[in-house]
Amino acid sequence: MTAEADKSKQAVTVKCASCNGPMSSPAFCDHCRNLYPADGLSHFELLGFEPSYDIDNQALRQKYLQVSRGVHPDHHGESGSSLSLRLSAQLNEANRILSDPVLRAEYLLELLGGPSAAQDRSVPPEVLSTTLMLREEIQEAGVTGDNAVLNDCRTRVRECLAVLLATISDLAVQLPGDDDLRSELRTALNSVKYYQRLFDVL
Amino acid sequence: MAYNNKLIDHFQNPRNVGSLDRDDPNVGTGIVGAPECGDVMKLQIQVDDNDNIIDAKFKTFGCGSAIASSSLATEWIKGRKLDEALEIKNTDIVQELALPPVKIHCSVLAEDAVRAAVADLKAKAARKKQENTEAAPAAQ
Repeated sequence: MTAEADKSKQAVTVKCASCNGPMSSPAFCDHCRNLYPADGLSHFELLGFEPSYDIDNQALRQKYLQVSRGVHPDHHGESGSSLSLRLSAQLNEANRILSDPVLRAEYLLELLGGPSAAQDRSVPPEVLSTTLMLREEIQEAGVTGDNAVLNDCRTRVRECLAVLLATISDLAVQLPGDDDLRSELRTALNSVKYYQRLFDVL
Repeated sequence: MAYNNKLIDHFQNPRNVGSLDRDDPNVGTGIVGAPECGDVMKLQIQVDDNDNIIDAKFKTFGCGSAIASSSLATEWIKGRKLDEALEIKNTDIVQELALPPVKIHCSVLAEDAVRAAVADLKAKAARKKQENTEAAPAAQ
């Protein structure tokens, strides 16, 4: 049992300091509607999840909506409004990161100590040559207005992204893992950016 | 801060855009990328039999600063000895083009591309040497 897992369990079952009722998020008591600052809490903790890649998207969405409703500025008068605004923004950000498989893997890796993209910029040479080739084809097709080629490029980028995404999710569920696993995940996350960028020009 | 004229000139009229034959033993190819932004840069150099760089070409898919940096780099390495090409530092590019801090990674990319192209060429030469002189050890 790791310290992180312990902490997240606590976050899920924490009791309200005001009414001692159970809280589904450390930011909000469902029972007495008290708000608590959540500075320094991870996105996972804020939404009451264990820090793990394996998240039930439906459960995440439900939890996000439930807690957001609870902390919403409309339900909190003068005194609570600034905290309520801050928590709402924090919840939106947590939901944005955790609901996206790539951002979630990136965030979890960072949370567990990296390496970050700045620390490890490695990317397989074939990713660079493939994206370069695709870019050349896209540029040429753009000049000649060849939509068939552009569509074909789109399909190929989508396929490459799907393969990478499967790799990322395969690796990310094994986090924290060893150094090799983390650097493999780092490389896959670095690679995704090159393909995502292609959609900007497609 | 406005971009300086040299940078705008290299961006609008990039020098040495294009490709050289990858399979030519006298051509070295470097492909590098910036994971922060997904920019990709290909830089190729061609040498004569005395390791003089007689041609350089690039293709860069990225921002104006990345294009200008690689354009300038190809201009600078043409006519140099292979090893002298490695003396080009990203800071020289930053200074020449007055790149703002957020664009410094573009100059790093250009320096990396030159290094990768030189390394590719040297690896090719080493392979050729090995094939040709399997019997006689290379005198270094």
